[in-house]
Amino acid sequence: MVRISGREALVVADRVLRLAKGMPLSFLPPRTVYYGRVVDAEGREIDEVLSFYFRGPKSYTGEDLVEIQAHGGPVILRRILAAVLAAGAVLAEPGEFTARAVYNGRINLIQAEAVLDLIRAKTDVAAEAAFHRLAGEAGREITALEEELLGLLAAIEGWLDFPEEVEAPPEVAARARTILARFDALLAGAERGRLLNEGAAVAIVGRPNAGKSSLLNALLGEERAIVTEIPGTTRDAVAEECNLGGIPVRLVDTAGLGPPGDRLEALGMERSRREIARADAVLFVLDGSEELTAADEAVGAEVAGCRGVVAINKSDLPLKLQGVPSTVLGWPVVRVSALTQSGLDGLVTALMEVLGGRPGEGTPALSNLRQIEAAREARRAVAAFLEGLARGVPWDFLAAELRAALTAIGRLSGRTVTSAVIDEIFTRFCLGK
Amino acid sequence: MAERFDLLVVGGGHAGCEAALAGAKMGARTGLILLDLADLAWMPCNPSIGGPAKGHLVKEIDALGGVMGRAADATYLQIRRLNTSKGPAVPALRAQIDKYAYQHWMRRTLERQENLSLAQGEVVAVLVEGDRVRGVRLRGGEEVYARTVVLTTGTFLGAVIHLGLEHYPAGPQNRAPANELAASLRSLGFTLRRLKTGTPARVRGRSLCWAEMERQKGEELSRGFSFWRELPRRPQHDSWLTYTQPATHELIRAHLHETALYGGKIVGVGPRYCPSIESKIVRFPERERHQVFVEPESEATDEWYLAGLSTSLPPKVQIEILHTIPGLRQAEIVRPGYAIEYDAIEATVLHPTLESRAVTGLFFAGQINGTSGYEEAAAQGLVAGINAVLSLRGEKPLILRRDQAYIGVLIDEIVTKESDEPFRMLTARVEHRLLLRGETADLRLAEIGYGLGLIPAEDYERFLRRRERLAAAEELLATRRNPGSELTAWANRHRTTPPSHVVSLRELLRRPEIDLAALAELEPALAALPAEEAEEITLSVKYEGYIARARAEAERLRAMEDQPLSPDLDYAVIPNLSQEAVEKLSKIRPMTLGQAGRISGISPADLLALLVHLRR
Repeated sequence: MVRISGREALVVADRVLRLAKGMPLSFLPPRTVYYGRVVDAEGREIDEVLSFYFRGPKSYTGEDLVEIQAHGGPVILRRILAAVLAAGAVLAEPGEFTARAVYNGRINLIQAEAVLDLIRAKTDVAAEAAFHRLAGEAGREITALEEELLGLLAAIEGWLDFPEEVEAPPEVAARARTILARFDALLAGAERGRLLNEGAAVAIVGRPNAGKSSLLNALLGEERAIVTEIPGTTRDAVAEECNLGGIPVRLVDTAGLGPPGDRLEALGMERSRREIARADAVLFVLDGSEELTAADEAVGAEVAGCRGVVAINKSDLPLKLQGVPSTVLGWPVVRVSALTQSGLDGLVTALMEVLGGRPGEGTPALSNLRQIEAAREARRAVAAFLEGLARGVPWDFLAAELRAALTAIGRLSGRTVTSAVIDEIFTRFCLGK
Repeated sequence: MAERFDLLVVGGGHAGCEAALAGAKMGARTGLILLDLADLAWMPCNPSIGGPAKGHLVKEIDALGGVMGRAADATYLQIRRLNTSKGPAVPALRAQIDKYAYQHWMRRTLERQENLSLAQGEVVAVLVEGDRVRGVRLRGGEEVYARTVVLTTGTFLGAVIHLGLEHYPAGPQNRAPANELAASLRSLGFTLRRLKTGTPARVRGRSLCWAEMERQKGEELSRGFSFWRELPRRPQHDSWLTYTQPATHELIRAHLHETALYGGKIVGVGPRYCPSIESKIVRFPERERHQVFVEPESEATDEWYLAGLSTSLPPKVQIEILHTIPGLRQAEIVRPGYAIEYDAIEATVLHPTLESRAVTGLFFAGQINGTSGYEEAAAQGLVAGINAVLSLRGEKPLILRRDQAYIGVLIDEIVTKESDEPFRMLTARVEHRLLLRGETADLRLAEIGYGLGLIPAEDYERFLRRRERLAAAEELLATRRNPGSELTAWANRHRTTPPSHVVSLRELLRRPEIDLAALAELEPALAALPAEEAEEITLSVKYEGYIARARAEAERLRAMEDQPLSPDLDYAVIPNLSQEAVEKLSKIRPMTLGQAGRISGISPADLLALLVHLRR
């Protein structure tokens, strides 16, 4: 499909389309499908196509928008594209269509990012969450919070500018506290929202034969069908993607931790350390059927300071293990059996807890780091406002805090966003959408 | 009048006086012509100057070398500081002015000014040759030639008074209106819009019952609006506070249909922030009472102003209404309240210098630009007068930035944003409010005023000394470190924790419990600082986090402000600019990308398209 948007979209379409109706597309009513052919600059027919158009502002981009559907195939599409470009169109930048939709006020930034999330969603839950944001449900809370902040600021500003007429705004602290609580609620689901879209990396560590690979395969389970294997040697870290409780998780099987043998093993160890440093959480596998060994302690030393879960594997055998390495004493411990698959649900839940994405808590409103940062900044400013209020900071300075909060939240609603931010977001979009 | 002026100011209100004085002080042969010389510097509504944002404007006018602050300081009946408990950026002086004394002061000041002639006359046409102004024609046919003209017609242009359901052509308080000039401006291609304002009744003091009202006293202050002189001591007069009653509101509702606005006669748009009592009762039906300030107008008269009771009800209803209000139950009306409609241009046709883009040399200032308020008018008059002279010299015009002065915000707003109500300055419009405190207006602007020749050398030298004292004190605070032994006893005396390591005085001043007086015990030189300067230093240290952030924000925005747009730019050929943007930009012709971004209807996409075009 080829899509054309902009003031001249119909002019371009009329140059390349020969419709069965015998008249230009722009003469015909919008939102109706027309049969015809595409011709190139020399008048050669390229393909039979269906085409239709929307009149701005009632279109995805808010501008005149034409779509041409051909039979497909890369050669045909390339020739149609060439014909359209020859007729005066320019090739869209990545994400330009959605960028235009934001510029023209058709959708807000959160919705725009939701489009990206939707296209890229790796799990059903993530796709569903993205769709909810696109539908604007989650954005409504952002807009409502923005209105609350504006109302509070206006009450204060009115009092500053009209001291003889306007009385001091009542319940400022209470109103600000309510706003703060709503930001907290918004941010509480945010980490899960981010994990849903950006996913998480979990490094599986453990001494040889503790059962790392079999646990990895058990976790992958039926999801194997959608798993992609990232190539590597047997001594490298092997990464597999899977869906754990709706969150796309990249499981990395590390190798070679422990006392290095040959040079090749030392190389694998370096790689494993990098994977551990990069991971959001560590899954530390211990063999429950044996006592704690020096090799287990050595692995424990490698993951000191990380977040993670200890899995005591081989629960199908009698438990001989007593205690865990001291470096992971604070981690949740789960008994599992890679062989019988018992305890796997508990392991997934524990991993989700550690990652901060408890499943099943409604639709998260925010889905990536930029959104979370903006909400956090707004929250920080509201908190600073309340703190300043308690300390007796003068009102004109306090008002500046509320303005800062509005500027931050404006980056979510798109109200005050600078072109720089917009550009950054839209370079992440794939071509044309 | 003289054969030919460099600068001719039409209108002698607050804008006209500042424009004429600035022009004459800068050496231009200046004339000021007004309908009635007796109305020079007249306050036809409330004789009050200052308040939040307006007080800031007056201080800035003063810092640039204008006269409104000096005039107010010389003629106040009562002066107070408002908003003192709300923070350093919003306190403002408000002075009740002796309106006749003010006029006399201004008349004498203008008459003493070299290069300046005053004359009475009605301007009926602006003379234009090609696209350049040539002068004006007076009633009676006389033509007065001038290289630049500043129009400050106030509420006189095409004015109509509404009194109840009656209306008739008249300027404020039944003065003669300027009707033919409106036609002349239309024929030059200016679009005129109708604006509306109003004023309350004036009552006789002897008929009021003071015991039924709350007394409002003035304050003894050493500093007024002006940076250059101490505030003269004057006997202060009380004003009085009373409130409307349920009976007042019932009566007004019963007679609403007899007002021009609600009877459908007024087409002009009135200001939301200065509503008539009818509007207040219609728009805020839940309010049980409204404030009424009863304020003196002059030592020379027993006429009192009723702030909060602006009205266009018929006079016989006005008196009934007053009689429902405590203190006013026996009030005698000396002048009835009325609403007035007048013509204003669309200020978006002006350069930020206040010069017309279409007619070179023709400047506009004050209410003709759609603003309200004496202070807003004076600020524009000063800038228009200055720029008229600078344009004759071919020098760079005075365009104050939004992060530099309230005046900069005021002018940027009116030449950039289309508005259908009279524009009033508010501190909330000023995004860099924390950097533009009234008390620092001289630090921001005096150098400019001196450079223009509007500030006498001896005043400027005093200013330089003040600036040096501040810098020296800052330096002292940053570098002076007292020995620990000295600090312990001092800290105990001031109930603060003795510092655990060697610290500067500046760091000590950051503590909430420490003020400059306490530090003066450690460094006696600090005791010599005048009170305003001590306060200035204290604020800059105690709130430096907030101020630094405000500075950073101003810097960030500066990049957009520094990106110039050519006045001849053909917006129609710029790719990807929306149709609406092309129309708005072609009409308003912003000078910078920052200004373009403030035009309503200009989207980030349009700005991006502009930016891309500029980089090409």
